[in-house]
Amino acid sequence: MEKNKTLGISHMQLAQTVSELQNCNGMTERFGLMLTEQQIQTVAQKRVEALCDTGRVEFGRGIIKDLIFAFCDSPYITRENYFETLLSLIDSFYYFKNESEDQIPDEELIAFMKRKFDTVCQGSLEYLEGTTLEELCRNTRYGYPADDDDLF
Amino acid sequence: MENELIPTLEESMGLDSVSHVDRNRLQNELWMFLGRKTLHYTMGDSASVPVEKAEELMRSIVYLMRLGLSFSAEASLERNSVEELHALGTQAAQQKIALAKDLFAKVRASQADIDNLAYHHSLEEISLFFQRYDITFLAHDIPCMIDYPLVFSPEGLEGITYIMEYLTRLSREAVFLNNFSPWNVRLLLQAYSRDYRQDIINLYEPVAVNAIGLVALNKDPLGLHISTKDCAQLKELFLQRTQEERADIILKAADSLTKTLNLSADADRYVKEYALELSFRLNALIKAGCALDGLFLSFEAGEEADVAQVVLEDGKVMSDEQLRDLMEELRFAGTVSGKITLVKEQVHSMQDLLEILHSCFWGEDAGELLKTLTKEEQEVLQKYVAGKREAEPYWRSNTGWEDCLQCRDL
Repeated sequence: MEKNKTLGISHMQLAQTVSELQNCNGMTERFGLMLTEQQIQTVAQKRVEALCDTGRVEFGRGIIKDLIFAFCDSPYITRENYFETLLSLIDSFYYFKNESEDQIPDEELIAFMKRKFDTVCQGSLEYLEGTTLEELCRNTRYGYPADDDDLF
Repeated sequence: MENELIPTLEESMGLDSVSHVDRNRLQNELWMFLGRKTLHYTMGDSASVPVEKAEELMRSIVYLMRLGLSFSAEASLERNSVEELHALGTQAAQQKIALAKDLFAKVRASQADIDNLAYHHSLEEISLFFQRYDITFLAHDIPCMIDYPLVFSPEGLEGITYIMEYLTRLSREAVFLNNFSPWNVRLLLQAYSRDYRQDIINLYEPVAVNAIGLVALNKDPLGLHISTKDCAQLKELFLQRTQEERADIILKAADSLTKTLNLSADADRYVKEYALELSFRLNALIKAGCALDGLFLSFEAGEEADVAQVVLEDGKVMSDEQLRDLMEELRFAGTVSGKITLVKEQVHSMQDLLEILHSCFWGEDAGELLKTLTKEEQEVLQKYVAGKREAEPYWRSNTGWEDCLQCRDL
């Protein structure tokens, strides 16, 4: 019974995410970025997995739409790498929410990720995750000021 | 792969009697409500939170729902939504907070006059509870460290419900303890635990045990001291009895004790509840062939002699400077028992005692000091007062200590 109830909730969230991603295609199309139905299902599933892996729970529509809207105009995201990049960004986002001990609001973390991805990281997810975000979260945990242009 | 183990409403509230339809409705409502509560908690900054935080928020919601169900006779899981029950529970919790604050003020005013770190520290912590308690997000939490153990700990309670019950029981224990001279209680506690001031012990229990034991022997419970001879008599009283007979003797003694002390109905019930526990302990000790002198305690004879004799040995008068220093110390002593200790240690003459009584012991404090004197010493003081009034019919000391000489319970 308990497992059924948890599954029920996951199905609701999955369905909601799928619907949102379908709507997002309408906006990202102008940038040449589209997700197939199969990819939409995978991205929606990735959200559930990433939350589970990071021990987090999310309510409402979540942040995927915000991630997509923030990154869709990045010069480093193309039709070919859009799907894989999105999957990595979802993983990174929830991981670094934990690493920052929830001290960075969603909106600011996404904005930071986008800004650094397009500049210092030059489109490298490895650099974004391994250096920039690590540094941000370390500074946040220890109460050190971030760089002048961080977070805004 | 499933996301976390946030307890379902079923687990938290036991929905056995609720229909399948209502169960699903409530579970979905709870999930939505938890989502809104989480958003409120993060002030809209985060759509996700760690599972542990969500669990805490869930526990708070369920705690308030339970409170809501018990608050209103009309409220039910079938009739009301999660949000309605939560609102009712919040209202109930706010009322409990107000009642708890009143109760805490009363407990503070009537706290036992005994030096025990855990006891006083726990009272300080409870005062901090009211500042820290978060009814909005963590209503189930008890944000304070209460070390002092009651004789009956409130188990399985959360939030303000726990604090209310803790204070209620603490009040009953204090009401009981305040019937006894702090001096005698101190001596008994020293016999119970040499470091009773620092140890985390319940102060009520040893006093209740000795008081009940003395009443079982038809003796005055207020002295609290059970001599070796008394202990032997208690052993004889209990040894050849059945368990039921022992329980009957103990409960009758408890009943007589509560009448002697003129306790309220709640404090009376508390003593009797403890008496039942005492009878179980007694049975276990007798069954194991243990002596009863570990249960019914004697003060050390030396201590008693100290109390009786050290205060007055005429001829050892303090110098003016010594007397002034003592008066200064007495001004800043925290408790009556602390003041009496200082007198015991430093005052050895009638002359000095009178100076101290005239200046440093007011009202009930004077009564407590006078209780520690022997009958002979009290008679000497009575003669002193009579002599004063013969010369001046309306003579009265600065502190009015002589009124306490007339008290029946000296």
